[in-house]
Amino acid sequence: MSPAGKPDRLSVDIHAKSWSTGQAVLGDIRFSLAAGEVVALSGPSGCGKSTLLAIVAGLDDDYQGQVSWSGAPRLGMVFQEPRLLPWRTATENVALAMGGGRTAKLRARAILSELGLAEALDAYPARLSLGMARRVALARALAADPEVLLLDEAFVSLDDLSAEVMRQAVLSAVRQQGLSVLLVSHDPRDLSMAGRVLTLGGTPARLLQPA
Amino acid sequence: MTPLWTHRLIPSAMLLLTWQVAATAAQSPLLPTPQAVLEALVAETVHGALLHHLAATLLRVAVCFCLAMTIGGILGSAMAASPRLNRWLDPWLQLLLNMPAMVVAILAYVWLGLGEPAAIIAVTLSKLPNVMVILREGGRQRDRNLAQMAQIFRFSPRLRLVHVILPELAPYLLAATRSGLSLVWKIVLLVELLGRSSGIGFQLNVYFQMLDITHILAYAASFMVVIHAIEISLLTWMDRRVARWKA
Repeated sequence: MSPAGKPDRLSVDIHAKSWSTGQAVLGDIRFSLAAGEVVALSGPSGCGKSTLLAIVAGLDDDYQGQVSWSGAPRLGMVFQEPRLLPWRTATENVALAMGGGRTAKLRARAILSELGLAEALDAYPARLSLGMARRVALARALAADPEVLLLDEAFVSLDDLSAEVMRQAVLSAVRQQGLSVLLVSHDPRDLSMAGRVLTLGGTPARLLQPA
Repeated sequence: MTPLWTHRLIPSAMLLLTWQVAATAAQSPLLPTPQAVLEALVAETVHGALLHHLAATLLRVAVCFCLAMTIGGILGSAMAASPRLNRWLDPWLQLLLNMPAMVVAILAYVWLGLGEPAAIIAVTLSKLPNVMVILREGGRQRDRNLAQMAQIFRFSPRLRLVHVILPELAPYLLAATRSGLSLVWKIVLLVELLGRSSGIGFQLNVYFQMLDITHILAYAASFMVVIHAIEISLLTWMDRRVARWKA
C-alpha cells in the first residue's frame, strides 16, 4: 500500500546499479506508486534519476533489486528527447502507439488537436519546433491509453504556455482515468503536480526522504 | 540552356561525333560507325533474337538481385545485432568479398553443372557480401532510442519492421541497390558468357567468335540503355521516398 492508502501499481526495491566501468550510480531505493497517484523524482543533475526511470520502464535490466508491477499495466512514456519517428508525420507517430490503422489515425488527430497541434497534424518531426515535438510525444504517450505514465524531464525547454498545456493534459488523465504518473523533473511547477516528491542524492544516489 | 541539355545531351553528342569521325577515318570492320550499330540494333530487335536474349538476362538480373538483397539484408542485419553471429560469419564474408566473380562462376559450373541454378547461385554469391557489409553497417548505426520507444509502446514485430527498422535502413538499402544493380548485371553477363545458351552475355560470346564488333556493340548498347533506364527510374523513386521527410 502506498502512503495514500491505495493499492500499489508499482513497487520499486533497488539495491544497487553500476555502470559497466564499475562506478556505482544507484544505491538503496525503495518506493511505490499507487493507482491515480503522481510521484515526482527530484535531485541534482546526473544523480541517476533518468537511469532509475529507465529501470522502472524495463529499458535497463542490469541492476540488483526488483521492480514489481501489479499485473501487466500499459505504459506510456515521454522521454527527454521526443524520440519521434522522423519518417512519419505527427499523426502517424501518435497512431502507431495505438497499433496504427485508420481508426487510430482519427483518434490521434483528435488528441493532437486537443494539445493545440491541429496545424501540425501532417507535419514531419523535422518541421516541428521542440515544444511541438514534445507535445506530439505526450500525445503519443496518452494515446497508448496507459495506466502508468513515465515522464523524463518532459516539460523542460518549453515555453510556459506549452508546458502548462502539457501539465494540464496529464492531470486531466490522472483525474479522469486514474492514471498513475512517475515524473522526473527539477522544475517546481512540475513538482507541484505530484502528491509526493522523492529526492535522490548522494553517491551512489539514494532516497533522501522516506518514501 | 537547361541542365539536361548541358549535362547529358552535349557530352553524349560529342561522344557519338568522336566515334563517327574515328570510325570513318579507320574504315575497319573492327570499328563500325554508330549508324551501322544502330541499324544492327534495329534489325536484331525487329527480326532477330535481341528481345528474347534481353528478357533472359533481365530475368536473371532480377532474380539474383532480389535473392542477394533479401539474403544479404537479413544476414547483414543479423550480424549487426549479434556480435557472436558476426564473429562466426565474418571469415566467410571476407572470403566471398575477396573472391573474384569469375572464380565463383567457374566453381559453380564445375560443382553444380552448366545449368540455371549454378548461374543464379554464382551471381547471387558474388553480390551477397556487398549487401551484407552495407546492411551490417546500417544495422550498427540504428538508433537505440527508437528501439526503446518501440519497446515501450509495444509495437508488434510487423510495426517495428515496417515503421522503424526498414526506414532506418533505407539509406543503406538504397546504397546496396545502387551498387547492386550495376554489379549484378555485369556478373550476369559473365556467367552467361561462360555457361549459358541464352542472354546478352551468350550473344556477346557468339559474336566474339565471329569477330562481329557491330553486333557486339548493338547487344551491349541495348542492354546498357535498358539497365540505365531502370537505374534512373528505380533509384530516383527510392531517393525521393527516402528524402521526403527531411526538412
